[in-house]
Amino acid sequence: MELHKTLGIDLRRVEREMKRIVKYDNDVPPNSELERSLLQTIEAGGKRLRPMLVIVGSRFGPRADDNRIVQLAAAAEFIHTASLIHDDLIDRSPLRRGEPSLHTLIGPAKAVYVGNYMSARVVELLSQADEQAGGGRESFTAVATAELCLGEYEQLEHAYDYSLSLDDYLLKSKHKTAHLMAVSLEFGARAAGADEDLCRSLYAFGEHLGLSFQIRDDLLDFTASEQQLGKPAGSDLLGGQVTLPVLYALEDPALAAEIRAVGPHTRPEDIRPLLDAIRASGALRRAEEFCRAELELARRIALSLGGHPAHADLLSLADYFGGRKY
Amino acid sequence: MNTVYKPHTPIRYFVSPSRGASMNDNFIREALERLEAEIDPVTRIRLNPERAVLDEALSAFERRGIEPLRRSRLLAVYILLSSALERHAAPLALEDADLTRRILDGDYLYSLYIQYTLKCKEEPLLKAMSPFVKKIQIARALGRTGEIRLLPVFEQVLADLREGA
Repeated sequence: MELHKTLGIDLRRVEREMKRIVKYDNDVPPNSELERSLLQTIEAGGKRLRPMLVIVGSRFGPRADDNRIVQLAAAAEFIHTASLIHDDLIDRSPLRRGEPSLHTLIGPAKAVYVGNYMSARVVELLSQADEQAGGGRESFTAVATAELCLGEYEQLEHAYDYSLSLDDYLLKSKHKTAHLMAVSLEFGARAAGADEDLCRSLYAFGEHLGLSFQIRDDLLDFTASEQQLGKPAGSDLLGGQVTLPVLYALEDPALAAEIRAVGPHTRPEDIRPLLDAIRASGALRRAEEFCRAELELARRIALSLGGHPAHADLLSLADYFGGRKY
Repeated sequence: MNTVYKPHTPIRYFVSPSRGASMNDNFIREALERLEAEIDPVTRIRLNPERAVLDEALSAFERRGIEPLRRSRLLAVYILLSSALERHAAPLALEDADLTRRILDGDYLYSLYIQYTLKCKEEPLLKAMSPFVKKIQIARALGRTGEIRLLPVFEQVLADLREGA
């Protein structure tokens, strides 16, 4: 069953809210290229994990049914979408989910401003909300994505850096992926009036979940098809990203020599035998174990919150993340 | 916007020696030291705002009756926002070797602007500025660059907040 159905979340409501945030902005001229780009980006879809995390987080507070929660869920997806638009430019990626990326359609500068608009619009919406309804200072902190940027800087810093440590890898992954997931859960809980200890536990749960998500992504670079990934298998390795399976494979001296030879000018066809060798090496199994261990830590936190009916939703999230195929 | 993007220039800024230094020198030095402490070293961001721009901002703060103790904080906030906007100023081309850094730096500085404004307990300023920051992005997306100047908006917001206080 699809995750949103398991969690009892009406994603169409979130998507309607995302469109409403654009259409009800009197500063965006109707039918302008900006409005069309925003609506097209929203309609292109996505997993919508962050809005689901906001809504699940809100179920730990007394005001979970507040309409405001749906707006905050949409806001979380705005922040994520803005980061994807900029990521595609940073990676010079012409495609997003198999379709032309926004900068391919409207040019790099305008794509940057569409992403910036989404972030700025969220700050404006939070500014209009009162403290109780999600307009408190923690909400602004939640949408400030400095951590995401730090993850990107760290990734750039360590491109083709085969001396990367496990700690560096984990830090980069926490910044780049886990933080926004953790903050989405915390953000929802806080907006619904959950107490501080609970918010902290949800952040910790989200961080483990997010790390497992990143490791799963790392594994998919070796196991998923081009069609599933929307990019060729081995793209991370070719792009110089030292992922967890690569870190483990580097412990094998023979493989390490081949991996260290991968650089900015290596061609996709050159790494095919190396991809097979890494697949056969046991590195994927070890990364899978790490991923499972993170999910287990997340599950333990979920079980510690057993007094809240919504803890079952956290377990559903952990199950979904564990079984993700692409 | 009002600052110049020079990616590899240091944050150090020339100010007169402390003895006999102007008030502005002190505000500027303090603001830049605050920012140096805030910006994560992994970013390697170096800010080099034009002196004239900073003097102009400080004059605006003075006109609006901002207490001296608050001016360096506000100047740091202003530098972060104007630098974020500057990093993303057109032209932005795929062939530009600095494109990646410009996007990242602009995103990082904007996030830091939010975090630092809150840290300085200037939440009302952040809230009051938010529609204008958004309008700047809309104007840019519509190709109407230069339509909104940051400093007059910043000054007006400070004046409005003071009146409403």
